[in-house]
Amino acid sequence: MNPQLESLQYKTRRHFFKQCSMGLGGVALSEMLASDAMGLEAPNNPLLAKLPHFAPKAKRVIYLHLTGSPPHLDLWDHKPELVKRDGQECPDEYIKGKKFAFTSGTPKLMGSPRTFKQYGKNGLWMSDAIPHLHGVADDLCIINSMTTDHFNHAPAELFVHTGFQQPGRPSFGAWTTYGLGSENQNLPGYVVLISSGVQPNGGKSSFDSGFIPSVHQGVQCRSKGDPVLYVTDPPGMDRSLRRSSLDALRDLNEAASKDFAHPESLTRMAQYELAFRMQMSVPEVMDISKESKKTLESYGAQPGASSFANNCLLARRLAEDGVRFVQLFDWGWDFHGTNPSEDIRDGLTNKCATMDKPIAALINDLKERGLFDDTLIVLGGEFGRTPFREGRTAKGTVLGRDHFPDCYTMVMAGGGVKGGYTHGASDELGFSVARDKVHVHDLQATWMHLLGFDHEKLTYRFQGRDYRLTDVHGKVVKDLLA
Amino acid sequence: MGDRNKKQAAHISAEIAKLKKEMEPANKIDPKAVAEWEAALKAKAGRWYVLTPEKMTAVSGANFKAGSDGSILVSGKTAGTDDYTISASSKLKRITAIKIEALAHDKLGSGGPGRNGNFVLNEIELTSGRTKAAFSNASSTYDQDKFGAASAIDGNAGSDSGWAVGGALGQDHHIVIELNKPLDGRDLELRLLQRYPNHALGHFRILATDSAGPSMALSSEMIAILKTSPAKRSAAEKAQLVAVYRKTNPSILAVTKKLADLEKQLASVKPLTSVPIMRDLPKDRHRKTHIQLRGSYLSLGEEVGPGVPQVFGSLPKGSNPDRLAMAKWLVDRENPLTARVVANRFWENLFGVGIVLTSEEFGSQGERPSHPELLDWLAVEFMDGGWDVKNFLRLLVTSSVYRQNSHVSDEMAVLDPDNRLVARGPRVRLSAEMIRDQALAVSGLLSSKMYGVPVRPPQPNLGLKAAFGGGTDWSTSSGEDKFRRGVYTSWRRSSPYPSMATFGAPNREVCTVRRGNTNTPLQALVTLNDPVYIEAAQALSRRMVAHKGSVATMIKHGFQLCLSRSPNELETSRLIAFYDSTRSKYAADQKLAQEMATNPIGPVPKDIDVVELASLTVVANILLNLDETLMKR
Repeated sequence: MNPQLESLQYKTRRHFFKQCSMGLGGVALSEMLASDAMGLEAPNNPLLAKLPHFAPKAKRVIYLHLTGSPPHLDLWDHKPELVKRDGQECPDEYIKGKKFAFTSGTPKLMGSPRTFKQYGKNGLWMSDAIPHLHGVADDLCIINSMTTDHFNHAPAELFVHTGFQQPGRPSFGAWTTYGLGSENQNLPGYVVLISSGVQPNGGKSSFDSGFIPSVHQGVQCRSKGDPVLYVTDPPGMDRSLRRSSLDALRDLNEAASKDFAHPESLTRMAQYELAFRMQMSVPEVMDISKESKKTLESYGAQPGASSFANNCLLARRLAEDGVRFVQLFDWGWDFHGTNPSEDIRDGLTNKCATMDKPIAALINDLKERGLFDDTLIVLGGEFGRTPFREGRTAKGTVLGRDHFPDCYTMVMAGGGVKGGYTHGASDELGFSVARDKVHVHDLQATWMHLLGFDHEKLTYRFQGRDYRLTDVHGKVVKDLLA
Repeated sequence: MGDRNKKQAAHISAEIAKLKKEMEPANKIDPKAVAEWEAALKAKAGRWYVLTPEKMTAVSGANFKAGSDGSILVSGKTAGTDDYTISASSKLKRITAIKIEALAHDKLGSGGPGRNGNFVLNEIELTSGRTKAAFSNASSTYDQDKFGAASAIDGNAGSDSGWAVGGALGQDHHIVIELNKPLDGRDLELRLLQRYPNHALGHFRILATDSAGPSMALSSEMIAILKTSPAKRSAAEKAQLVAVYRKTNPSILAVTKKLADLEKQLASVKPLTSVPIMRDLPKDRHRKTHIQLRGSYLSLGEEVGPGVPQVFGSLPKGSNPDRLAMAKWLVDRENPLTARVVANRFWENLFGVGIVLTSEEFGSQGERPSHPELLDWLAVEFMDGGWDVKNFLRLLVTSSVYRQNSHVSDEMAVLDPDNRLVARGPRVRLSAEMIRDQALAVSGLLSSKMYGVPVRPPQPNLGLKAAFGGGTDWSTSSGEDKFRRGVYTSWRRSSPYPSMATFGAPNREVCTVRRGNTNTPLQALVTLNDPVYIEAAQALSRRMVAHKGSVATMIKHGFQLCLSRSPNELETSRLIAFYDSTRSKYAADQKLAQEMATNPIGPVPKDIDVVELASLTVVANILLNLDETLMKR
């Protein structure tokens, strides 16, 4: 029997539909339509730029994750009633049957000790902790009605980045390069920058590719040492020698591939050429010393240092050079009040000083370079913080808040996002969403939409199931769109 | 277990066996001895005299009130821990044992006998005149677990060592304490040390006896047995009597104690390695298992029990649904799935793609096999061969289909680009671990050491801490542990070994049967620049130099080591040309040559030209990066 015919007979309707329009098929189609931006000769390159399902509003993403979760009630969500009732016992109906990470019994309500005012044309509320962001109020989309399912750091962080609380799923960045490829093959498509000395809670799992091909995993870039692992030639080898050794390698591979004629070999040769170019372009893009003094000053960046400010500037440089997804993680936002640096008064002022100036600078810089309108910027933690004082530290002098998943704030800006807009609201004490609830899966669906994807159709089949970023949930929040 | 430990354990075991043998005559209890013991016990049962308390004090300052029956009720002040001192006198000139009755009372917590219900007598002390009594034995009518009568006279007044009656509150109990030597009973002082917070006696009575022979606390059950005439006792009653006798007979007790000590010793001989085993909990303690909705332990679905999917038959008849039954079911001749899945995985390993492409999914969501009859034949061969993996792999690699040339003709490239029809030999990239192992193997660095703890090969320092954890950097293992096979590499899921992650080693967070065959520029950077691969190139160049001869001979040797074939004319001449040009470059810059030849592997061997060695290192670097080196064919 003809084996090809036989294999065709095994094709079911499921296979047919899968290959036609749904799931992977959608991506495969766009892959056929893809243009090679740099004119490189790499066949089968999964990172070639691709078209999404429909016209995207954002072409790239800069995701600023404040690891540990900042106290949103002291930055974004103004609650005068909570201030009025500061120090009162928390009404039972708000906490009955709920679990908190470090608080038991009846905690005391804590109004924000910070000063709130309205900024921008539409009067967005912000506290005095983030003075530089006041100036970009008209660009910000503040969602005060966020809710998540998890109240511990690692599960909540994995949840917002991968759509699932346990490690192992592809992250938002991985889905993005899987769907869109990358515009500059000389740089990784998905770059991760980490500041304040500690990995994100989920470790590499928070920027991993999970079960989709590892080419989509986030590549960590550093401001010290090799900017990308192994990008530097070994001691004793200069660029010209590397070039001539790659020439010899190419000649040998070419000769052998005539014998084997394997397409994978051709791909490999192209990848070595890409690697060579990456060796030039990565150190170049990671070197901020060529930035003007004015730019460095606006971010508060210092060449050679390792800081969130440097990483914000790098994010702009990478975005400018066509990197699809830049992910920042900054440790130290877990404001429990266990030490003065975690106090929501001076502690928060000091920590915010390392964050709000560079972010404001990033927004302005992207605007000046015409990149703001097609760059999606996301800012936030993995959850919010309680409207009451954290239990462990309630008797001390330092003011801190516990983890809080029910209602918190995320901020977006840039490509396709409604600027100068506050979405949803918490109740008068900040315990629950009062209107326009946005679940993490809804936010993820909205991100995908901004990138031009139907979040239900960008899928990857693994262990017999079509997986997606939004699991089996999520609705695009139309009100957030410009 | 180490040799010394084994010897020690054997020695103790032998002693235990000897003692057990010695015990055997004791097992066959002499009925006459029991009868004598019983008679003595009865004779004494009635000869207990209540002591009249004269002066009673408590550390707490509590009140004591003596009743007409000689019982003492405690009330008033309390303290966390409390010691009672009671002076009493009797007419007995020669007491052999004392008895403390702990009595229930309505006014006490939980009905007594403690002031709050339970009590703990941590230590009991008795003096007669100026002589402190020594005790030989204590028994009670009831012991709380881990708070037995004996611990009230063990010389340890710590809060956790004492007699208590938790589990039987609101009832009368007593403890009988035998004296080593008889004492004058006319001027006695008894001290009850109670060091367990809030566990002081509330109602009690003190008695003494002067009769010789055994004294022990008799439970109401025992008293009933003793009252029954021996002829009318049931077998169980007789057995209970003997059991009590054995517990009180001093010579038997001595042996039992020695045995217990030895067994303790044996248990404390620590093995150097231990093998954890799993076993079922008793049936009544089986855990309830629920479906966890969306994987969250907080949202539970319906309760589920053990079993196998209906379509795959049932567990072996008459078996419990346990792991053994599961194992038997897995490899049951009537269950075709396991052998098919395993055969397909080995096929995939060797051919790059399984007969069923979705090797992780044989269900309705997976792909159909390209060659169903072949898969079935292989599965049956595997079963018939006794599930012998080595033989099965031999079958595959010696087959003519595996030994085909892997050349892709233009025609085949169109008809079957993925080689699903295996009209040519397989050609696939080596896995992450294999690539590293191969580089170490051909350069002669690979350690063949097996087993043991994971090792830490060189990895770049990132200077980052794990969230709520320590640093993610590590210090490289020393000696041959630096060059162990990839499977021995330490693996932390939140920061996996970077070069292997780049080659698509699974993150070990989800079960990954099938790995992707990625091909990326970052992978090229690993094999070109990672110090691990540079060191391998340096070691390979030293092997080439050691193979003395012309440049061509050395290069051919290195080529042969990497590819298991000789280079052709073109390949040789291209590599020689490269060698020559590199040589002249390094000759002009010896410092550069020195770096390339020695960093990180170490100094240039004696009598070797550093320029030659450096140039060959770069040649080796090329050899380790050849497409043909990285791809199996």
